Amino acid sequence: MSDLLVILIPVFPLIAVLVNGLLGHRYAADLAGRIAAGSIGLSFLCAVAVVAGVISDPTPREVIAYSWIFGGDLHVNFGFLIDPLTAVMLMVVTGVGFLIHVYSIGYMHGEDGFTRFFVYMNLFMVSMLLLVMGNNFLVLFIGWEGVGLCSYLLIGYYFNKVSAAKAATKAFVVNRIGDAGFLLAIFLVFVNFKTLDYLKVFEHANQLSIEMATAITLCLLVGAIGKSAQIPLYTWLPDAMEGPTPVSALIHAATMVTAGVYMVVRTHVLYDMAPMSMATVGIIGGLTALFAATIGLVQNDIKRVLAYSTVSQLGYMFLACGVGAYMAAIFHLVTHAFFKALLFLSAGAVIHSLEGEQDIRKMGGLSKKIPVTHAVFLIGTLAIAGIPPLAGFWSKDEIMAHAFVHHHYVLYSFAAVGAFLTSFYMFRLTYVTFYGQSRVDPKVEQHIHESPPVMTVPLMILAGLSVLGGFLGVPPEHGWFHGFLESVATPLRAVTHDVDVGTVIGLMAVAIGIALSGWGLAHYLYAIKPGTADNWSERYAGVYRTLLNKYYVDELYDAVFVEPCKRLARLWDWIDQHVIDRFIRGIGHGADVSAAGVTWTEKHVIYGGLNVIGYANHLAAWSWRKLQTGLVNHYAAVIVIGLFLLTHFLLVWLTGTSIL
Amino acid sequence: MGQLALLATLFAPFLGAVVLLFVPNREPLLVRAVAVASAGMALLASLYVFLAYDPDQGGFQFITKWAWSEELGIGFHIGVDGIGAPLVFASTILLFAGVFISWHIKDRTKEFYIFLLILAAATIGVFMSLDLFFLYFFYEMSVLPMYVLLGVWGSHTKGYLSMTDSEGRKLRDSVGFILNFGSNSKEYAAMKLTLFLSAGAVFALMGILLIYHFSPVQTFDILVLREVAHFDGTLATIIWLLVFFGFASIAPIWPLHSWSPVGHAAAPAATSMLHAGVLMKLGHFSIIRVAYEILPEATRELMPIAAVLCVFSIIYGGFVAYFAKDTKYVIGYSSSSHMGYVFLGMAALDYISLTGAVIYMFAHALATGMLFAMAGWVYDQTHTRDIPSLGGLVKNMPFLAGAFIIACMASVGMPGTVNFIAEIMIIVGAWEKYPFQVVVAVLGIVLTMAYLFKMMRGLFYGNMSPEYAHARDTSQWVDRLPLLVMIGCSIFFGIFPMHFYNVVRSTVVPMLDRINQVAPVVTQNTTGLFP
Repeated sequence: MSDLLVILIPVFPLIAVLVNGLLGHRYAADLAGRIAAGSIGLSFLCAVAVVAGVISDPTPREVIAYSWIFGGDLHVNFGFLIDPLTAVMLMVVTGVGFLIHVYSIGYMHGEDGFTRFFVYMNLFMVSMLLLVMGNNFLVLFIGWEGVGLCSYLLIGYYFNKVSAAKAATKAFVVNRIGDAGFLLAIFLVFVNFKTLDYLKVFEHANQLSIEMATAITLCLLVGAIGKSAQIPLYTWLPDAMEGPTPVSALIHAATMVTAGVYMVVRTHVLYDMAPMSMATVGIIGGLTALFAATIGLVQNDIKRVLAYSTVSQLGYMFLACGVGAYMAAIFHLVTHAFFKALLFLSAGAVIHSLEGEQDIRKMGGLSKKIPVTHAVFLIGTLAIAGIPPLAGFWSKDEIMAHAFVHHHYVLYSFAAVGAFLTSFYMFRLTYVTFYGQSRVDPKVEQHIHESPPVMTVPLMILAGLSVLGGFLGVPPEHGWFHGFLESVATPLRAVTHDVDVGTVIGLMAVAIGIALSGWGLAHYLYAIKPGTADNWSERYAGVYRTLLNKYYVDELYDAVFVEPCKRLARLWDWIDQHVIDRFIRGIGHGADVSAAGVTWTEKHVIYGGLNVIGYANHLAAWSWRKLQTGLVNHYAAVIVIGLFLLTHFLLVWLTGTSIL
Repeated sequence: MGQLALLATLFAPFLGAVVLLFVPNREPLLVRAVAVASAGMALLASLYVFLAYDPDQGGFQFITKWAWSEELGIGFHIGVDGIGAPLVFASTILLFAGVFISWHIKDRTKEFYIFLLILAAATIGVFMSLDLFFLYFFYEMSVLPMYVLLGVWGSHTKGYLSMTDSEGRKLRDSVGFILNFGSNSKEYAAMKLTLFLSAGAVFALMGILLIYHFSPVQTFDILVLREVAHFDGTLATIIWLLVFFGFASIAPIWPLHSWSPVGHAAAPAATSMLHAGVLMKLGHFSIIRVAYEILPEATRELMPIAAVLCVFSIIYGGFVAYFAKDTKYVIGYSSSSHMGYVFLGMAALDYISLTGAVIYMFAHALATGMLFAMAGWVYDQTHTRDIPSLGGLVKNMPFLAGAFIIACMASVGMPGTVNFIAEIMIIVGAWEKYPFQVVVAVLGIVLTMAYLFKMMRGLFYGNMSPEYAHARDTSQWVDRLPLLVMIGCSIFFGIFPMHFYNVVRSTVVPMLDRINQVAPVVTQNTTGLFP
């Protein structure tokens, strides 16, 4: 029974995909939306039942749907693994996913291709559920590729926008670079363990040499970096904001981009064996957290600011993995899913009420016109900035404290500076969007309206989660959440530090101080002395422009990777046309020339010879032709003469006498 | 029953072609009905063969043998093993789809279908021949209809019409033009393809005749030859090289590939499908059937050649495809790039990778068949294959765009399609022997992604030029059915590959045991239903 419940979780959205995909054109679009959201709701209910089972008994449980590839030395089951880590991910994916689906019914209302949107979204949910539920690397990979595909489809949802099509392709190709690494990792695992099942691999992991463990984990990391938009493969995520806002919330904030973090935690047994990989994870995470935050400081597109903030927050999760704080990483993943989904959806509500405007320079003073949206956005900002007691504070503080206590001071400083910048740019975003003078286009301003309840109710629920979600992990490192995850996310060589309460409280105070000072700076620049920020950007124009252009990384990649590849392609095309083809045409020429030679020989030598025979023939024919005159009496004469001669020879042969 | 089904698979298209001779061309519906009936019969029969093949028993099954010339040792001897059965199945799927894809051909409909059926039947014949003579016979027979199909029903590449001489005459009729200048014309493509493949076939024939000549028993029967004939030293090397490069030219291995994109581009959609889908696999299949079965030692020693060349195929084809601006060139080069994966899987001489290579042939047949079918549809609607001038077609063709994405996904080996299974098996199996090639292959997947989605974007996204506003989607069931059949097979075998895997494996394991000198040949029970 409970096995059936597990299998039903991804099956509900799959049914919705088929129903909406095949029959969607036969009924009203609203119904398609309801079917889509309803299927996720059912999945959520099943997931709750399954998770309740996990809470009472956290031992990992495998549910095999069927034997996928089986025979000889290759065994792969299509199966699911249900353990506390999966349970947490299930709650996030189905819970947040359900809210976003409900919100989308309102947000996408009246758009072209409403049904298509929900088909893609549900397909995404199926893939994401396979990703977090799979019991082996191959099922994980199916989900991994599936979410990439849906991301591609949904970024390119507005297909007639060239920028959207380009962004979609870029996202897919960059992800594929990561997937290449992931694929290499998968078969390194297979070559070493002769199986791809998590439990078997982890059981025998200690037989692995450190070098091999490092190789496997680094390859896995390449995959994780691509999916979770870390340095150096992060460039696709900001561009991915071309998709509809619910997509940004669901795929590019709450669920898909955290798949890399999930994978690292899932395979942490291997990472624990490879200190070098751990260090790499931590450094990449720390750098990304800081780097993306600096770009976020100056962006003017409301969704792009949030996109860079997502990249930065994912960096925190990687940093946490790198210092062995797997539980903190998952904890931050959960809280981030709440408040980032909230921020994106409320940004979507802002865009919705401004008829598609995304540039914050054309907003301002919205707090009175859309109070509900303003309130929930503010809650999201407080949460991400790390103001206690909201969710973001607890999870981010835990990561930073863990880094500090385990003597990763450089990473701690990255995280601390990043936290200050995060607080600053998020409050900047809030101030510029909601307070001050209105800079909205007067034509648009008349129509500003609060969003319908179908959108605001999910926002309020997410706001509630952003406020309260952090208490799952209180007190730090010893909360309910940590107890729940203990069996699956404890590092193998867990070093226990006796940390006195004073240090913990001191670090908390520092974190609060950082968050408040970021808020204070934003308040000073955008509320007390507006205009100062512009002055600064003029005074430090070089820095400002570098940040505004995202350090020119896209241009760099174009120059270093894309262009040479294009040139190589062009060169090889040229070789194909001019060398290989010419060579073959050369053979053709040779054949031509020799054919000419042969023709000459044919004409003058062989034909000559043949002609002699021919002439002889001709002569013979001419002489014989004389016989055939066509006159009947001639023929008759010939016949008579012939008969006479025949009779004569017969008589000579038979009797020896001649009649002549 | 199985034997009858196998014979039906082979002869249904032939029979269809013969019946079509007596159907008047002014009744196009009847012509199509005959074609559909014979293709459908072949499809059902081959499906039965594929499902009825018993993987536990393995070896060659459903054998039929008629002595043809006792003195020369030639017999009409057919049967399938775990490698032939899926490829026969793939051929009939593509034939069935191809008949529907060509539904709207108005010009000499009857003759078109006759040649198409002969082409498919000949291909099927190669996949089930157990006699070298008939293998070669069917092989040559499959090349010749291509010439007519390209030359008569093909299409020129962009820029062809501007090729006139100073007096404004078209240059297409001069011999020099065809051989040297008219590389955009369909006549050139037809000529090049036929000459190239015939030349390759001649080399292969030399190899076959050497086998015949130097074997202790004067016979063309593969099952006898693989037991009694032993070649070693220089002779084995020479025969192997002749056979390998002779057959590899159709595969096509780099640098013998240059006929293929030109041929694909010029061919009508259904022909491109069969050509890229199954005709190219004749090369790999014949190498397996002749070299792997009869020359196991030489194969073990010389197959690294393929491992080297496949790298060039994969990367080179991928890059050129990225640069190509013509839809069919992109797909054509992508095919020749993907055939490198099959060579990699074959070269590693590993159970998993060779199984993967065979599944890959099947998978690629479906994926590339879909792509060519849809490129053909776009061409029919817009009369251009030039990607930069197209765009925004998703508005007019939502169904086709969706199918196109699925085909692209299949082609890049998306999990859920059978291509994924094949790809991952090749990569996993080849890793131990050729890690460098595997890394190249994995990067090749990224490359595939890049050019296919570049094409996808160029065709369907962005703004549509107003001159294509009349382009319409596949709305009739005859247009959608072939696509749905191919998509369905691709996804079904991606989700349930068990039977497929077992069938292929049952043949691959003893074959490789022999090549790797683990086990001797397994004697085949050849008593058939027929004398």
